[in-house]
Amino acid sequence: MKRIKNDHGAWIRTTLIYSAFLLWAAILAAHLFFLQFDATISEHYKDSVAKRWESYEYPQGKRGTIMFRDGSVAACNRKVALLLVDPTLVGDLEAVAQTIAGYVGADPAVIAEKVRNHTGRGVEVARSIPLTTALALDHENMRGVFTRYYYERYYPHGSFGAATTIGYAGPEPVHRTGLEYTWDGSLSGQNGEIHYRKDANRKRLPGSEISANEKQDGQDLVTTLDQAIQLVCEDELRQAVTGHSPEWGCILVLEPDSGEVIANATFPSYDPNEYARGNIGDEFNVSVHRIIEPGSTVKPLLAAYAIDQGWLNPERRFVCNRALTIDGKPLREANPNHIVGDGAGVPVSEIIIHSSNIGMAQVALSLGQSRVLDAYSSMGFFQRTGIELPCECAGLQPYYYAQRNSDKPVSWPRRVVANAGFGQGLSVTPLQMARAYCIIANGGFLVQPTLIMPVEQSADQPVADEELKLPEGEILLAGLGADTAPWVEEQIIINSRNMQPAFDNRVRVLSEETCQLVTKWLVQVVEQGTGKSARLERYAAAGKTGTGQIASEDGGYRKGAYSASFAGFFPAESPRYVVYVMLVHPRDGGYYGGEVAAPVFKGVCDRISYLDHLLPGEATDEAR
Amino acid sequence: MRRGPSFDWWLFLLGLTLSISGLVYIYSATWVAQDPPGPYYDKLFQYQVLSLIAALGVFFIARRINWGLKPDTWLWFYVPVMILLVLVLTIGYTSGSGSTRWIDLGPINIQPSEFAKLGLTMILAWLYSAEAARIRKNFWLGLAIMISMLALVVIQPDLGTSMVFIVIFLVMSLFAAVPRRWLLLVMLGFVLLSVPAWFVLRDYQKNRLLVFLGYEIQDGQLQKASMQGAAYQIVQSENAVGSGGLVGQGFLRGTQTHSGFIPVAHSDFIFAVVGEEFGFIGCIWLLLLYFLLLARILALSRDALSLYERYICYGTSAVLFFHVFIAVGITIRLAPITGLPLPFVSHGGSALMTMWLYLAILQSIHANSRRDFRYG
Repeated sequence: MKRIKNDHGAWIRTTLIYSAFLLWAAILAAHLFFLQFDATISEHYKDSVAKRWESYEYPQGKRGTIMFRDGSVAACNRKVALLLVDPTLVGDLEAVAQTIAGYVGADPAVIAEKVRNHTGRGVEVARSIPLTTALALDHENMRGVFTRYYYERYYPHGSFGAATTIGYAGPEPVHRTGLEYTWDGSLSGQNGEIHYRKDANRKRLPGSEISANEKQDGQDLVTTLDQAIQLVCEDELRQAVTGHSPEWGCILVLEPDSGEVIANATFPSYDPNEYARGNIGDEFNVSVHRIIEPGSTVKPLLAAYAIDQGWLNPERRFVCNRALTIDGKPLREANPNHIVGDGAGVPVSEIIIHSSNIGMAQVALSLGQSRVLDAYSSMGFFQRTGIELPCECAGLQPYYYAQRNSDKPVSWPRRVVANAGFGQGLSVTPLQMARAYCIIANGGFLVQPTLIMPVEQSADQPVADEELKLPEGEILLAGLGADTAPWVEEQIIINSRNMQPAFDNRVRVLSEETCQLVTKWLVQVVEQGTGKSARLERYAAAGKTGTGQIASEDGGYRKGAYSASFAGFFPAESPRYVVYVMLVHPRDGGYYGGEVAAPVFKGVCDRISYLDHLLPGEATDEAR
Repeated sequence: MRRGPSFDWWLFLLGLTLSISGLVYIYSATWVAQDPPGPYYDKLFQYQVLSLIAALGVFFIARRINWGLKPDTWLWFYVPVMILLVLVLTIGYTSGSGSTRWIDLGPINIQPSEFAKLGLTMILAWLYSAEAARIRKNFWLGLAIMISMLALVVIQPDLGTSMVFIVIFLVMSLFAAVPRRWLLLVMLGFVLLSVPAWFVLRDYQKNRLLVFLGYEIQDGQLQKASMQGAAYQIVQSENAVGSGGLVGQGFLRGTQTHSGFIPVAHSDFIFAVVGEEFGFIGCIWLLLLYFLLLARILALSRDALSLYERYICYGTSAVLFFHVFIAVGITIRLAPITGLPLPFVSHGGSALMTMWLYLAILQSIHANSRRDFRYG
């Protein structure tokens, strides 16, 4: 092989190539320098990278289930979907909008417009889509359309499942009513937050969690409500509403010994699944939220307390066939044609049985202001019962508006005292009335009404099962101290979440004997008095009708507007259920309590007796 | 006692360092997090280790052949290469992306277009080292040979490798005693040819070039490149390199690499792994190795005994330079996306084998220059 010389051309060439390499290396190095060395640019890329592959996930903590006392579901969660459309991925928008609209029942033009006006990558076009519809939408497999599943509150019984009591929990934390409101703290679950790394396919990388707060499901809640009895009450109330078209009304069923609320049907009510379409105000529970002058149903309560305290001899006779004129105004019976007794007068039992306003006015006047107030306060009036519901009213004591502006007790005019004897001039909630009848039914104890099953008691629930006896000669109200005196309290406590019950669970208010005596009278009311239409098929019921005038806003009474109510319990000799029916201003089919409310009471009790498999016993016949 | 041929340790050690660095990068690019933590040897990594061993074996055998000896005819190089290239198109298998580039030989696949680069280098060196009178004729012959090989690679299709052929031809012609106007004419011809060629290209191929200019074709429309579209690869790898910073995120800690944001991280985009995990220092280290290798090859070209050997050196440096330029450039938006391996580093047995064959030939040239010196 011939050796070639290192000619000049080769030197030039190689130097040329060297220079080209050097230049190129310099360009690369400079580029890399700016890309990697400059802290701000490098940080920008680091952030960009972190954003690209770190991601958050928020697993939804499930809200606790609310159950009826038998464990059947009153409020639960159901899986629904929301629909997202990515405007940058979607092809034929009109066609897609048409398809979506066909499933979710919306206007395709509205959906298309919503997507078109959106600049981001996902616009929500529908929410709360039922699972089956969502799955069908998934199967359509439309480009740029995504379903995302989540859990939503669902009320399987709709407006028939004690909607105003169970309440409503919406997507926002402020949308809470009823038990959903008061027990929100334990019901609501905590959403988790998982900070993790994903790969380019947005898949979570195993073991890549940066931080993880696990979700926490809420606690379940078992209420004292009985689903079957609730349904009976809802049905009876609807029938009554259809027949009498009242302004509002309710049926309350309580267990007298424990104060457990077995059923609470209200009118108006609403379907919590259609909350957004309901009327404002329908979601309030009128049993605790509205106050009403109770009318004659308070007569046995006042009489019983007076007899028990020894203030009234049950044998004492009152002449009731004369018009009574108080402060220059005549006092009449609710039914002016109904005259009780003759010139010789009637005992207290007859006054109750035939519901004489004139008789009770005399009883009240004989007791005087302070004793009347003591009697009603001891029955739990004028103070919140402490039930686990928001917006509970305390009620108004007689002469409330005059009393409110005074520090000292104001003495009532005679007419106010007389009116208080037959349940006018004072306002109570239906629940307070039902609770007061529990006292007679359970042998003299004032109970704490509750909606929560004691077995499910958690730490934040008041626990009390002891019988507390009042000191000798002391009335209940006095024992509470001046600062909880009813006239000091605000009437409506919007947030009663941190409520403390005014009473312990069982406080003796009446003696056993008095209760038996009054029960006998109340049985007579049903058997031969004003409450004859409340006679049950198989049992002796004890109860009292009430027909009250309705206070108007100007301080007087509304003309031609009455509240029809019935308070009672059955079976009379060993009461199992206290039932209170209140229908305010029934506009059709009469207005007397015995006419309007007593049949509802009968309907409810008869149906409960079949549901409860109560057997008619000898004692029942004897009491009859 | 006769000593073996002189050995250029520079060439060998630079190649070895690059190859071993490549193993590190491929290990990282194919690594999958283990639970419990432990080493993980991907199939691709194992394959690359075996390829390197094989390539080194071939290197040590091939370096003993006197490659500086010019064969009688260039057909010695042309025929085997063409047989392989035709075989690819007939018995080669088609990958998921629709290109036919590999011949399946059971446990291994070979990619003949890699060896074709070497073949073309040798052929052009043969042609341009002829006596002066023949060189002008040989230019056209070389063009014809190059185009015949190019055509077989283009229909695979493999645009990156066909670009390499053109570059080898242009660079080596530049140094040959060929009239410059011919060269310009040929370049003009390529430019003119590229106009109709544009309409033959598929959209994804067009997009790779367009994205470099900030545009892309989507649904037949030319539009600004979007992050999700064709620019995705560039943006992701640029992010990877940029986030590396000065010293990188550390071995096996590159988030872009390990969460799959970088496409073919073990192959064409392996420089993004280097940039992300080893940072500026790692990049400069790698580039320095290449620069030293190129410098060494050029130094060798000066010592070469024959024009033939000298042209081999020029061709080799052109191949090396172009590969590094593209493979680094695509990751930092300095070059349009063209699928070329980073020499010695990227995954691929044929490419590695080819590079080590280049080194073996260079070793042989080195030995020749020394031998001549030694024996006068």
